[in-house]
Amino acid sequence: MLVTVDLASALPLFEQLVAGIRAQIIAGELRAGERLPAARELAASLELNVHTVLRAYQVLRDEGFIDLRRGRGAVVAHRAGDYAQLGREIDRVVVEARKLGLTPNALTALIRKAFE
Amino acid sequence: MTVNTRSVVIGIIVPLVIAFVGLVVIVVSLPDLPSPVAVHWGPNGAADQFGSPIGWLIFIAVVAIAWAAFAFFVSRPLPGRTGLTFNQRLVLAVGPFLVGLITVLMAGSVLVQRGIADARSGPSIVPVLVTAIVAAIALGTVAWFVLPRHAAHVDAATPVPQSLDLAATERAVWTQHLQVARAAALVLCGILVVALVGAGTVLWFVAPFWVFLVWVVLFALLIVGVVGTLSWRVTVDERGFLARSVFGYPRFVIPTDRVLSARTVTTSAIRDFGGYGIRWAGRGRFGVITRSGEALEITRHNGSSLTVTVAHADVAARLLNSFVERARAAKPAGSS
Repeated sequence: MLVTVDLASALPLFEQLVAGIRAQIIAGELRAGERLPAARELAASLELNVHTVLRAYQVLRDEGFIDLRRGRGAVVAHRAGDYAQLGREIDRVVVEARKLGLTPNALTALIRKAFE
Repeated sequence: MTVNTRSVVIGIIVPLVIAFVGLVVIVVSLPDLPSPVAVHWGPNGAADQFGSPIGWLIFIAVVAIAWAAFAFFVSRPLPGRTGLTFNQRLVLAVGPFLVGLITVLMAGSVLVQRGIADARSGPSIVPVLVTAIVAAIALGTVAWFVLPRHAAHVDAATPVPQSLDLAATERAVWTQHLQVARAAALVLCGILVVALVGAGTVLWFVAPFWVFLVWVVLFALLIVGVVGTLSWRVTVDERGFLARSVFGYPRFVIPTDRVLSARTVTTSAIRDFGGYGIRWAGRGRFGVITRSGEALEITRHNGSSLTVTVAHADVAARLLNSFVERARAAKPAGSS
């Protein structure tokens, strides 16, 4: 998996990590059962505090994307694969939003509203 | 002769011809041999076991045909490549060596027993043994040099991919967990366990207890060594490349400032690297090989390279190239 964080971004670092890893699980780049690197290793690679990575892993676990098991570390949860359809729908929504000239923020706000 | 014809003649036809000549020599000698003939010799060169020479005929034929089939399988050209890999050349050169050794040894031991009434009074086997070893080494060496040269980089045409667009404030990591396919790992472990139990049983009965213990300890180390190279964590980050086996060691570390470039290649585990795990393919080419197919190849400034069979190798190569560029840009011009 490829994970990037931008220090200049307004998003908190742990949220950037969550977004990056989640996107790759949804895209199928990371498959169910695949092991993520140990939090300590990922933190060293990205020169982040290990708690930042642990926080990101906890968010991903709470969202059901990964399982955290003692001794085995973080593993991609067995519910991936259901995302292919969602991925296609999102592509369609983005195309539609572009046509209408909506900004990403406006689209996100619409989706959030629809959730509530 | 074309390159391929030469490979087939040296690595496959020549050993079969050597075996055939040996078989003819043994068959022609049969009427002049004592019955039984000496078939085994003790450490002093004197015969200590007697029997029929028919077993040798079968042994020579089976080894020559089996090796020819194996060499043919291994030396098939890789798709899109001409010329041999280091491992293909090695397997082809071992044919004349191996078949030469057993044929000269067996045909020679028949020849020295011709016209003797009783095999117990036969001559020492030592001159035959020395002749066979010298002849086999000569055959193998000549074969190696007559075979077409192996290519240092089998597909040097593959371009180095562009680096990723990383902003100056961006940090990135690419990481993957690699594992030899479960079926292949099971077969490998099965072979190891059969060898352990088989040889262990023999040693338990015929050897002193301490020999058995040494065997068990050596074998345990071997199993740890093999299992340790079947599962890897591979990481590309600002510091460079790291491949770490499941136990932490062995590991390959290539710091960014030693990397010349990275690219995607297609590799064949058997034909290119001669197997799985940590492999050497000649001339500074090492590999961490868990399957055939797509792989990341990292070339160092000193010309040596490491090939690792990762998926999405292109992403890894582009990221590593980005870090190399970034490190070069960060250094003052002129220093290297």
